[in-house]
Amino acid sequence: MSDHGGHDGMPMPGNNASHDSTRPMAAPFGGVLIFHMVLMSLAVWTVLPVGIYLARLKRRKQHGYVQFVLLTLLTLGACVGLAHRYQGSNHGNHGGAVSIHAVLGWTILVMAWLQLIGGRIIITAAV
Amino acid sequence: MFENANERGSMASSPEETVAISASAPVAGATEDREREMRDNYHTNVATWLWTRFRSRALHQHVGKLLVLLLISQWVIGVVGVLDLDHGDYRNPMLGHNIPGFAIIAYACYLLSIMDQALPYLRENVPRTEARSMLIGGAFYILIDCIRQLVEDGNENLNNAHVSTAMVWVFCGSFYLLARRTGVHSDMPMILAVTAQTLLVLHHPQHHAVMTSLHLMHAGFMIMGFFYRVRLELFNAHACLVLSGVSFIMSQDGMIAGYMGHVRYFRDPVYLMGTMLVGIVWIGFSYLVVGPVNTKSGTPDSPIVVGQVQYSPVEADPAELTAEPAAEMATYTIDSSSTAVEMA
Repeated sequence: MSDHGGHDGMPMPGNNASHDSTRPMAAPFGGVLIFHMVLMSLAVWTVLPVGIYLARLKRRKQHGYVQFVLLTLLTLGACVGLAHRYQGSNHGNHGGAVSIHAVLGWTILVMAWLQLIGGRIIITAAV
Repeated sequence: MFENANERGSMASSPEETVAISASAPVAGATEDREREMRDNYHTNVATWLWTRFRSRALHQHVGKLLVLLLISQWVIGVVGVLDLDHGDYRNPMLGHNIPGFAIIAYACYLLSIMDQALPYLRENVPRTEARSMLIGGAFYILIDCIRQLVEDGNENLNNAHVSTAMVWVFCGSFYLLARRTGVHSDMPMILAVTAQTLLVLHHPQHHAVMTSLHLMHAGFMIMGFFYRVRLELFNAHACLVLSGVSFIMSQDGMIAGYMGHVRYFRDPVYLMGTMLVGIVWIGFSYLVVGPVNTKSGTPDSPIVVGQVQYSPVEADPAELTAEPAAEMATYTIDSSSTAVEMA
């Protein structure tokens, strides 16, 4: 394998000979995608740690509220991501890789909402 | 190991006890009635079981931890996708290689950080932790390589090799847990897993000599760590694991090897910084998810708890901790006149 050949037989970016020009490109890096990134990063790296610490401190009610905020942000971010995907489809992107990210994301979101409902039921049962 | 006394009783340890159970007509009748009732109300019972589990605080906590890991993984995949946006998809060796490497380091650092707290407790629990990490690591590796297989036009044989090795890890993790459950302590699962992983590393095609050397270092440290682990020199074992993970990551395109070699795209400093940032954050958050260790564990104020038995640090006897479950079973007798099981 040559140095320019890429890892595991993978074609490298910048290597025009190996780049498949027929492959659809992703949606452009623009405002919608940045908004998606900001929302998701805010949710994962700000709200989520706060929620975890509240859970560890056994402040269950506050933990529930924070997790609700987290899920609202995640849902909003997912919707923005969806908008980015539609934007991408206008650029001819039907690629599987983006949809893997999307499928994983929506699965996690559904699981997270179920988790929130389960937590609410646990708190209600305990009271 | 057992949830309650009845569960202990259901596992008769001698033929005599088995006969005693079957000879007890009221018990047998009650069991049959209960089984019939269970069959008749199968769907109701399943729904009840699910509902009970759904309301379980312990399950809520486990699912919460899983969701945190999934969320971070998803975020990492997103970051990689953005870094690699020009490429149009998520094809990237970082997914398949660096993240498992960082996860291994995080696990080893966690074990190193609790090493000096309660060694008997640690020796008792390390195999279980290893089994779980084998299962999680193997499953994660399979998932990542399946994704790579889907999104890459990559080397099919190599991906198959990766998945095969990951399946060995999953199998070994399961076997490890099974061995603990049945009281058979064996290092055979680890021998299998390390052998499979080492063979893969040694046959892994590399771009150039730097990457090959670092991969060989990775395998070497892994084998050294394994031998330390067999001798229960846990600190050395996990120190080797850390070094193994570091050399593994350094061997990747985005790191030292990418700079020293002539891989054009991966010399991009933004890509390098992104990789390092993701790695650092990954380690930090893995530590957070694993949970802060009870630093008082093993002190006179907080004795070590293994199952239902408490050991104070002074009195802890490793021989007791390695006692076989069968020996524990022998201390129970079954009262044939009722379903009650009493301790002798």
